[in-house]
Amino acid sequence: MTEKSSPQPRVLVVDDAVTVRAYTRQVLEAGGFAVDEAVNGIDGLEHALAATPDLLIVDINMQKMDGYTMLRRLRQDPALQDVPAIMISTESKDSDREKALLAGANWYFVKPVRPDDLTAAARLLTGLCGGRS
Amino acid sequence: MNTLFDQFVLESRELLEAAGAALLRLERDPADRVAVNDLFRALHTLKGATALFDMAPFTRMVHAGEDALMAVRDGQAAMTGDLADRLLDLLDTGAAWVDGLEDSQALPGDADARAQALEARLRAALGGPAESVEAGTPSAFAWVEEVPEAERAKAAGRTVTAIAYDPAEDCFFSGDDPLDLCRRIPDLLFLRVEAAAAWPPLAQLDPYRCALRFRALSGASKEDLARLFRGVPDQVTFATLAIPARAEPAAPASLATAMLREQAHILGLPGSAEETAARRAAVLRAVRNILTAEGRDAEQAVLDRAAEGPAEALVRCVESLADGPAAEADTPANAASPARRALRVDAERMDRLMALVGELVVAKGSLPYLAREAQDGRSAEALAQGIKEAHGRIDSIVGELQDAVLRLRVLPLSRVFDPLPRLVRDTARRLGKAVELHLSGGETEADKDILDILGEPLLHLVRNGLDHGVEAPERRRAAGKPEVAAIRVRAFQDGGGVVVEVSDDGAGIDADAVRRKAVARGAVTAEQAAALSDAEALRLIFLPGVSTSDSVSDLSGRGVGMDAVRGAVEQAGGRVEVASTPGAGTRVRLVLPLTMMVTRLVTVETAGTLYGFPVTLVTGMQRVPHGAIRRMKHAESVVVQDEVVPLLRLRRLLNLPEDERERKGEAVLLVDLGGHPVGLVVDAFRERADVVLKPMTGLLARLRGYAGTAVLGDGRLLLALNLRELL
Amino acid sequence: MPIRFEDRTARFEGACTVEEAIPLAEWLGAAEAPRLDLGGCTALHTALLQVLLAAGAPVAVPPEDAFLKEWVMPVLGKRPP
Repeated sequence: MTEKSSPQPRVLVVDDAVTVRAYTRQVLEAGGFAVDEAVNGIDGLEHALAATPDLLIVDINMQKMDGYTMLRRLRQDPALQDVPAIMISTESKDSDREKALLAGANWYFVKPVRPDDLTAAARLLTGLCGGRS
Repeated sequence: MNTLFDQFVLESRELLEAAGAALLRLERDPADRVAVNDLFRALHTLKGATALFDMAPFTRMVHAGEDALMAVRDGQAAMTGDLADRLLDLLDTGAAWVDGLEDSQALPGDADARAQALEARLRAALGGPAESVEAGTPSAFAWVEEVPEAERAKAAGRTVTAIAYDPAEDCFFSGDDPLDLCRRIPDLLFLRVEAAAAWPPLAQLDPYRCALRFRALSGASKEDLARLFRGVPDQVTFATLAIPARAEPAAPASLATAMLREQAHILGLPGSAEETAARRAAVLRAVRNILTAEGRDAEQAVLDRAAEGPAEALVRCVESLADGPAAEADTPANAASPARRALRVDAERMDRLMALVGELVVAKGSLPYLAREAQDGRSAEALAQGIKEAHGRIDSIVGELQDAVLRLRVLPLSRVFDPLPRLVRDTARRLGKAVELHLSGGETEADKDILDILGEPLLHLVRNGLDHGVEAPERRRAAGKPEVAAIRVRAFQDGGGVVVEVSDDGAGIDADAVRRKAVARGAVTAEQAAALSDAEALRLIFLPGVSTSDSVSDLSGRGVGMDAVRGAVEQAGGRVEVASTPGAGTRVRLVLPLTMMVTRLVTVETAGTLYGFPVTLVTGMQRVPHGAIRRMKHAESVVVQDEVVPLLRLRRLLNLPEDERERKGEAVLLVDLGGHPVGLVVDAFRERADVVLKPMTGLLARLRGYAGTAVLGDGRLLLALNLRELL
Repeated sequence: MPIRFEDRTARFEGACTVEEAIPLAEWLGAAEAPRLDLGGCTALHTALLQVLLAAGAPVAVPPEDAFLKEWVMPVLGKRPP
């Protein structure tokens, strides 16, 4: 398992849209995180198994393997089951939120996410303190 | 891609506004660390957002601003009025670019040149006459970073002088006692005594060679300290530094609270033993991390204990953790931008709408049932009862729905207050007057259309107050008034309307001067003017061309006067009041309805008067040659698109004299009266107009055929006709 | 007599001046487990301070003088090797 408050927490961003990944990376790196990218659920699982991240940020609708499936699989892996996860989707219905939480997410954001909110959430879920901008 | 771009437009506007507000705060109080940080953060975030797109000049410009602020934040530059001007320039340019980006998705052609120019000017404002830190290289003051937290807290948010004092080795021989000198430093905030080198064994120490050096922070100015150290100028360096306030919590507490609640919720979700165990592990880790991030490590023990107990205990524990720090976390949460707060309110209103729609669906459900009953031959009485009940339910829902929809359009007046601080700042600076703006009642709500109409008059009134109301500082002093004048803008709800009051504590309006001016402009005769009371005379300023100031300044004299203010307000169905006490100040009150129903009218002129018809009734406008008009007895008609349309003359309908002028044809307005086309002969077509109709009052209310009156933007009166009643 | 040297204790009283630096250094070098009583010291010359720092002797009675207590005691307390 990874240490909980390394100076630069690693975030794995799983999303099939390149702009969104770039945007998320930008936001998180500005917030003091190191960012890894994966382009779909399968890719995400492989990345997570190769190097355990401190936080997952997962899109729901992706080709090959969607975010729900990916999170469910991940939660079955003893080394990855407690990695905090944020799901992001364009769906704002309560039922969608519930589905994400059932799949294993700790938090759910509706797109578009304000950079400040994303950074704040990532800080909280990784235990990163301090108000660097 | 597009949502990202839209997001960018939205966000950058918010950031620019936030930056502008922070900058004004900072200029007022250069030691306001929170303002520096807010401003810095806003620019920083903006820079990041611009970097997402292909707009290098934008990024570059914002970056230059960020650099300038960093220098201010690190105490390497002072926040001068000049620098503030440049930064405001930058924000204005940014705002204009964002507007342009929204329309055309591209920066203007000269963006690069502008960015460069702004960058250069910022640098000049920083390096030039600004009181920047002196020669002492910043690295000489790196120790400031190491000042322990306790001492730092005392200096936090202050501008201090850092002192690096390296006494000469032989200084004791000149009678210096460096430690004693340090004792005399005024407002000493921190002192560190350190060895210039590692200590030799005591036996080898030469007590008469100074081997110590001193690092200190003082609240005193560099000048005062230089005086104290005047005997050893070569051994000491000073730097003016701003010590940042303590770092703020990383996340707004509300998010932490919401997240903790969510974790408690997750613990209660159903699933297989395996699934719930995995979720529990993730929740525990998430909660621990949240506590760490929030600096609440002490509470980890509570969590650990609960984690060993039954599942319910853990849920309760996480729930109580969510409630825990609410009280102390209040302040940072307040920093959330007002824009977001407004959005939350909107969401609530949307929810209410959704709920009402739900109710309507349920109420609708009773109708098919009633239809079946009718088919089955239920008694008319029972049916009537059922229909009445359904009607009652639907009626009340529709009423609420109407109200809810209206509320969607309702916005806080703070929206129109927003530009005022900047206006006052710029104008006061230009006029060399000291003015404090007091805003209150920004939370008062009014219809969006009212806000739109209010904006300009409000700017004008405040500008007027600054320009004509507030006296120059020396005059205020001579009059025994505080040098800093006050302009108050106050909004509140009153009897179904919204009132916005602009008052100043300036010179007031001289009623006699207004009388003279009105007479000179020919607005009233000398006799009329003399007959007016002072209060009545003041109202003359609302007549076109009457202004109290003889000189046309570049501020208020832009052709818009108080008559324009009155025009705009009356157009919205409101009124203006003015009260003034010579020597004590002026108060102008705008009284507006809470909402206004805007009606779009097609206007026509007939016998020198303007008439309006709802645009929804008008199907066309045509010039019809005389030859095309058919006459049968007294009835006239015209063929439009193969259809015979009866022709009516507005003059006749209104009992006005016939138009005797020579003309080639007739101007015919085609209107549709519930499936019956009618042609209406008018004198001339005029423009369309959006107006707020006011019902006819007094005797006029009894006249048939009139829907109401409205005041046009230029002050002309318009009569809206009700054709159905006329025909 | 600003500094009174006793067997194991040096008592600082009033304003202690540069002239005391050599005697202090000698006493510190000679005394076994020297103790320092700064209780009555109202001013400490820089030369004395550096002797104390170099010797690293423990302060038995801290100064009552506010300036010394706040800014000088901390360095005297954590003596460098």
